[in-house]
Amino acid sequence: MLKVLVLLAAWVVVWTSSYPQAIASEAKSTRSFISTYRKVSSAVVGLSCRQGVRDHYFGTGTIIDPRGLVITSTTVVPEDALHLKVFLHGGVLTTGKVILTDPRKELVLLRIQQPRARTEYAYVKLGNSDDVRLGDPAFTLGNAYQSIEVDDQVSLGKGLVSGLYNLDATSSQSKYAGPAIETSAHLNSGMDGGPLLDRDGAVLGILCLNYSRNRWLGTAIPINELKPLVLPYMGWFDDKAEGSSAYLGLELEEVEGEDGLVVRIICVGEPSPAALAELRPGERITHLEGARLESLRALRRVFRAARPGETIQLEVVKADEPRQVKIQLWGRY
Amino acid sequence: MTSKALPLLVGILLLSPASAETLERLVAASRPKTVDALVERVSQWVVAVEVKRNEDVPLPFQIRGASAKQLRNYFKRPAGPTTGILLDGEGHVMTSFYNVAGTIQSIRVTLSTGRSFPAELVAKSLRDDVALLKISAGESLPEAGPTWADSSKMRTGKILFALGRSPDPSRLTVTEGIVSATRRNGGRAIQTDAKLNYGNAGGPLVDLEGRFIAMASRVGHTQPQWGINSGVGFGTSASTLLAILPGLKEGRDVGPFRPAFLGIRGDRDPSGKGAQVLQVIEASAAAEAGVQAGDVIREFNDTELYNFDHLRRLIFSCEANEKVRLKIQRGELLLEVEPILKVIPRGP
Repeated sequence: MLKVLVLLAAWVVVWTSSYPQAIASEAKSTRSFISTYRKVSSAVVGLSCRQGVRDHYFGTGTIIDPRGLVITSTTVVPEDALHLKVFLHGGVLTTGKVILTDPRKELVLLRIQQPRARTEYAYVKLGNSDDVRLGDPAFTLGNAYQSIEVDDQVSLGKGLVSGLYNLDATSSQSKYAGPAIETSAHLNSGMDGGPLLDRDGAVLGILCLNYSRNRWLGTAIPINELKPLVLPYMGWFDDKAEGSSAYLGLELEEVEGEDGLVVRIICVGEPSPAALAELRPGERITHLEGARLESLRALRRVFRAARPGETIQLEVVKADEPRQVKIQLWGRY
Repeated sequence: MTSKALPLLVGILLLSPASAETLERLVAASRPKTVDALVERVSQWVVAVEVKRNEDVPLPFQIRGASAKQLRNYFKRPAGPTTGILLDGEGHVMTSFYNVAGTIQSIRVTLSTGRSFPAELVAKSLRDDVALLKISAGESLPEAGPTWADSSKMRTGKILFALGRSPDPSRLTVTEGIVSATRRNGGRAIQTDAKLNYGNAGGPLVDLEGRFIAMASRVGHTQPQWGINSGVGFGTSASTLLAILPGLKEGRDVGPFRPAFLGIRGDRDPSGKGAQVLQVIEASAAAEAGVQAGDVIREFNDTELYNFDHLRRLIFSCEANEKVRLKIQRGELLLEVEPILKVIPRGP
């Protein structure tokens, strides 16, 4: 009995001193990220390509929508890249088509050429890098020394947001200068273009080869710097593709309002054109294409005739404040 | 008593896994707050130090060959600020001596408020890589200095954070790590796996509560690559700093560490009791104290010696000019001598 009490007392002492708590919290934050890692790692892809005859490039990309839109860096896929290879989760090798290159922001968007028709890809959500604070947990994922290409393994690094500052000068390989998120998580060769994730697995930034010589630590380009360039392409699918239909991303209901029926948003798909237009559950849609919206059936009628790529105009009311939104519809199988 | 305690105990045991889980979650959720609280506690006394110099210290090795220019550029000290620690309202600022080495034009210290002042070097310690600066401010400075941690509670494995104000003096940087060793550089510095960089040099290592443990410094380094973080970084301990600061404030410099030399060759047989002297080197500390070949040294500064290597290791921790006490057995005789250790003689 005494032994148990002593053990218990010892346990309480250990438990209440702050040092093991910190270890426990470390362990906990890592453990809770493991399940997140399992989900997000299948959306992190290896990339390799050639430029000219000699130069071989390799790095990491991140799938950011279910249609296989990959965000990566010009240090991985330079302009005039040839023989682009995309190494998907599960050892699947495919190729991709570059749809946007912005050397100034070191951004490349590419669309995976689907190995099978109508595949829905696992994807990673974009986070909000404006909310990042010094000391937040941060994780780096990628194709370190071609780990994805060789072994189908996404390398994981764990650390903190260890600094927030401007990178003034560009380093030899990187052309990016501007705001940066520095992390103490490992950033090794081949991880550039990959994601810096927060503890919930949302993208805070794109890992970058530029660094401060005062710090010698990995940096990422904040995702909010890239969003204006990326968002127009998200979820977008070729409108001429056979069998695709217009996609808005709203679940709606009819409810009894003060003056008749009103159409209200139950939930918003993510990602979706509706989410990009910042529509929120609970908001009411009062007008469609300038005409008062009387019923859900009227909306369906208009929507059935719409094609991906077309724009529809809605008036949305939240707490008696109406606003106009224009939404470009996506295509979806 | 036992019968009453038992249900209570069972109750606690049943509850404990769940409550431990909850606590862990709470602590995990508050982790960024830990850093927030740290930043709040330290930001006032972590300052940026910017140095203009005519000439930097020379590299400790020669660079030749086709890529010499490129290599020299690689080893060049990066531009921009490093970090310092504001000690008091009088404007004393402590930093790594490495930060102010070379031929200096001017030193400027930028406080957390963004105000910037010229500063002067008061004194330096090469032994512990410390420089004491003084801000020449015409006005009052914040009274807040660091809260010093209790050095006796330093343990290997303790979590720490390294803070800096580089490259942007207006924003702190923080890297996390643990104490990797508590008594390096002859017990005067700690070792940490926190990533330390050029920008961190002279900055504080603090514990979870923001108490000052050590100052990131260059002790033990001769290579200029230092700063390319490797997981082996050093910090001059708070206890060492507390001991040397009064002298530095009076303007007394401390020179580099001079390893001590006793001047005997010994039998390296590990099994024996004591250190067997085989040869005494001429004009050495041992010779002057009258140590002879054939003696067995039993004790060094009241520490009983196990073998010759034990003695060697104890001498390593001493400095030249230090007086030590040896207990020697010469046949039946037991002698006590007090040699004054000398510097290691140069080879021919």
